[in-house]
Amino acid sequence: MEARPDIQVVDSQSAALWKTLRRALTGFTARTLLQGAITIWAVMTFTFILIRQMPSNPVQIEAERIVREEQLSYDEAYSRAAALFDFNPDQPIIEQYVEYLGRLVRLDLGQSITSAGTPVLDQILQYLPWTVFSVGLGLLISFTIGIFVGMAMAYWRGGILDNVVTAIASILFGIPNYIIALLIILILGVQLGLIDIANALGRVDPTLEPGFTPEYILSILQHALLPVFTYVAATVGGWILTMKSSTIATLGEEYVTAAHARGLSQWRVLTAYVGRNAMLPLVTRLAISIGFVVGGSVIIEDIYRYRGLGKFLVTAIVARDYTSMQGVFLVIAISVVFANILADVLYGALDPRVRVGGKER
Amino acid sequence: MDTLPKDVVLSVQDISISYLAHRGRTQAVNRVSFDLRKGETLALIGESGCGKSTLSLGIIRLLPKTGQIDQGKILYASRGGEVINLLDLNNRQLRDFRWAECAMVFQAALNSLNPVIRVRDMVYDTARAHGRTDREATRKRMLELFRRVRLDPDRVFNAYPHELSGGMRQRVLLAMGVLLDPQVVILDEPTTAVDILTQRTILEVLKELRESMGFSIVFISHDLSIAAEMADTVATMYAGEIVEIGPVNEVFYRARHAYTFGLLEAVPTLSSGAQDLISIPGSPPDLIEPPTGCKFHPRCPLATPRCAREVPPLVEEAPGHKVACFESAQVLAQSQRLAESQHSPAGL
Amino acid sequence: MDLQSVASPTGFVIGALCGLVPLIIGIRRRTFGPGLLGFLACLFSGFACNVLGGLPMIVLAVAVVISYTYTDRDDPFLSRATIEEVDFEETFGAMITRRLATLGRSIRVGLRALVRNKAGFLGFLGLAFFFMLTIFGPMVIPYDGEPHYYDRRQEGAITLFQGPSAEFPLGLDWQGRDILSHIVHGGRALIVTAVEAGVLTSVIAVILGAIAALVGGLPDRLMNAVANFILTIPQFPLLVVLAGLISFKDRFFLALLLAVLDWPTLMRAVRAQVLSLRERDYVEAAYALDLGLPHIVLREVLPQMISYIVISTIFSIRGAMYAIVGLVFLGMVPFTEPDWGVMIFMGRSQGALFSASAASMLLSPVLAVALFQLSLVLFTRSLEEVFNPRLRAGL
Repeated sequence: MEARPDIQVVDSQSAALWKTLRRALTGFTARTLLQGAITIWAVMTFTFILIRQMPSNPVQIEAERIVREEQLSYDEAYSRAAALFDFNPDQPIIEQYVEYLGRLVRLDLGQSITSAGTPVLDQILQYLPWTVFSVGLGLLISFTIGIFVGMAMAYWRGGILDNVVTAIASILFGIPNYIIALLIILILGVQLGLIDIANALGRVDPTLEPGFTPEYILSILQHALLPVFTYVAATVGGWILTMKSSTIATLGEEYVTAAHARGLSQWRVLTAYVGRNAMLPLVTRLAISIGFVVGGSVIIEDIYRYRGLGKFLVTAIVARDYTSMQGVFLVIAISVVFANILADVLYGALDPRVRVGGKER
Repeated sequence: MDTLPKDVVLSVQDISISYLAHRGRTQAVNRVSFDLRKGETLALIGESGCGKSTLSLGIIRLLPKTGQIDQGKILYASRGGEVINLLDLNNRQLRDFRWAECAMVFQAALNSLNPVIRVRDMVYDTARAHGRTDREATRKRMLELFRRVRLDPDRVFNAYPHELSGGMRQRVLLAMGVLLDPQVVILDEPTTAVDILTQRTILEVLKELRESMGFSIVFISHDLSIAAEMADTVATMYAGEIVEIGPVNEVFYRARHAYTFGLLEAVPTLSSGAQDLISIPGSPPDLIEPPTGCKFHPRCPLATPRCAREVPPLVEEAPGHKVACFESAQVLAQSQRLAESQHSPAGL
Repeated sequence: MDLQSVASPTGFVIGALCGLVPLIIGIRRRTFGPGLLGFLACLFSGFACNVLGGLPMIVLAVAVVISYTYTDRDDPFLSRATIEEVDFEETFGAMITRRLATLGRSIRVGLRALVRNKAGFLGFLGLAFFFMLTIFGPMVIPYDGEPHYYDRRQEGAITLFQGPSAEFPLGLDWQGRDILSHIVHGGRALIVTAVEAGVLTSVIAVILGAIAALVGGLPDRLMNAVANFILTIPQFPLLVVLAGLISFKDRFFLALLLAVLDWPTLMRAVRAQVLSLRERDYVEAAYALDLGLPHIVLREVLPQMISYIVISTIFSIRGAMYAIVGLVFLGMVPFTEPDWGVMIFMGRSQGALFSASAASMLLSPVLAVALFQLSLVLFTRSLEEVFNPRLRAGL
């Protein structure tokens, strides 16, 4: 111990972390997982029935397209469309459901109806990372900004920073995200010409060869800039204002005064005493928002032509591509359920008061 | 350079503290002076809102942002004999001063412990803030102190605050208070939130610690019986002013201020029934627009027109016993009668 | 729901008639200022909403007028009468007067609180502006609904879009129509649907929350399960699916659907609050007196939660407007012109997004929606102050 004290410290810290995690996890026995599974199943069944109640079906939609484009009679177009897809609209819904469940237990989400031959899972895996990347990055950035700015505002409340940022945050908080996106394009792009909109839309420059080349990665980042900025702008106000009020409440706590009375440095008080307590309610919220990352922002992706899961979902809905819609809803439900579990675990790890069986020894 | 008598460790001289509120300035503490000698226990008594807690926060310079010290000096004699005015210290020096020289145990025990970290982390934080980086030594000392306040040392050391009972938390705070061997410990109502048996334990433990470590205590309380048990000197505060200060027996058996006397009358004793208790009518005055003259005169049964006109000065009427009351002779007579009527002084 | 009414000359007459009531009372009680203000308030609201605006305003205005001169002779704290002189049997008229005066006093206190918070007052002014715009605007600016393919085409222009000019302050849209007239006429349906959705949300949430908490047992568990379920599905994608499922020719059904998807959060809050209130003495007393569920909810629980509910309603209105405009924007609901959302959709699909001369067609409705939503959010600040006595006292 004399020789390598730092290793000892690191060791004991990681052991403590592990212990904390394990203790937080013991609360999640089969019960939590079972509850989650039931919720996912319920959402799946609900959406399964719901989407098949929508007027029209994929064959009809396709037939209408053929009629419009090729001036065929509707019956002719219908039989052609029906031949295109591996989908029988006349099959009873119960049969479809049983078939779907049967495939689901083998982790098979089926084939996309409108682009026959493509497994839905492949499509989801193709779109999902882009959404998770853009929305997730936006969430992370705005959460981080919110925490630090909100704390600073609470600390110097009544000052210039507080007043200016409160006004900006209230405005950002008040405006819907797609309005922000439109304003960015209209004002920054068209009126002021600060952004080259035409090159900023989409996910990546289509002329580039995919791969881990600097150009490709740079292009990804460039194209993600607008959506990420929009997500940050639309959510940062909420984080800032919540963190500010949470910090103000914490600053009034006796243990903060007591920590100062013990002569602790300003920094230590701000991080371990104020920050950690003020962040507690926000961390839960963060975890819950992670669940909604996957659903993405349908409208933002539409505006920026950013082909993520949200855009995929809308395309699937318009084409009545049942299996694709079903797949996306399933993924969303799973992520929301797991995010809720994550929120509980995180809260348990951060706040010893709610830990299940949290008694030491 | 300020000087202090040899045995005085803390001297509050002519301190005024005010808060900025919406309606105007609140004079929370008004020209208060007292000396605290080595090993002495001074009890500050008075109703809530009389400025006791503000005064103690002012001493360790931890007033909220709206509060400020308008005038006066707070002199402190360090162990090396050097006398410093606490109002001259910069932030760095203040941080060093706090806890190492003067510790404070806050009123609400649960709320003064950070709920999300363990007791040991708070202990290590405190030690490290004062340059004691040897964690093992800190741990040993803390465990020893926990043992002395009759806590299960290992269990408490590794516990989160919510795992401890109210009485245990109060003792944890007490033990942490003397961790760095301070010369002065300020106790803000240390026994209000606990039951009577726990209160007993805490007082016992406090006495033992005081005995063995020899620190001075500023004891803030509205409970006169506890003050009588613990204190050497008692100061009565009313509306931000010390209206009476003196040795404990002087003040309690020969009270010379009508307000102190009123407080004494409101204390139940073993011999007196509840019907003898007399409460002080009215409530503490508005500190933004305080009454003229003696601030207690609107509630005082002995008040004369003079009391409403002139402010009574704090005069030494008996050795070490100062009082600010024009009618002190009358009060003295009444309080001697009260003292005689009570056979057992232990009731106090 | 006849909230679609627009300002009309009949309304002006109705408003003037209604205004006579507070005016006469004001003159008789020698409080001319408040009486005159009451007259103007009635005139204005009658003008705006006919009988629906005029009649309620009579009550409010009369209450305020009375509150200036009313002293409660029987109030033990104000009255100088001895206990024997007080007549505890109150006539109906006296009771009405007393209630009105109380109401008037709280209106005055509330209005003062409303003005005190600067941001909140700004939000209030913003909302007032939009209501004036949609209610009185149509009287001044007629709706320009027909395409102008030939008469407004400019020399050499490829499209009918035009930037702002003296004749058309906000320019012309893709069919050469006046954008200003679409802004003026296109907000009403949107605002009304959003408000309907917000109010419905709160009504559903309060009723279900109160039932869940007060009845308990199976209904409670059932409603919690449904609430959890709804919270698990992301609202907007689900809404897109449902939009295809349900025909939204009648916007009221859209409002109802939005409410059905939005109630769980408030319902949980109400349930928790009712559960904690239930422990308190006065609700238990009400139980013991067998005053019944509606009484307990309306008289004991609601007043405690009113601030939370109103602010939650505002946020529901905001969410509903977000969803409606979003649905229209994606082209998922049938269009009815004029409508801000349709303007955004058409502007985008007609290429206004990337053309500077056409920007007004998009920018105008976008700013209208943004400012309306912003006003809503800011307004909640004032509401907090109006309802929160602690904040009201300036502590």
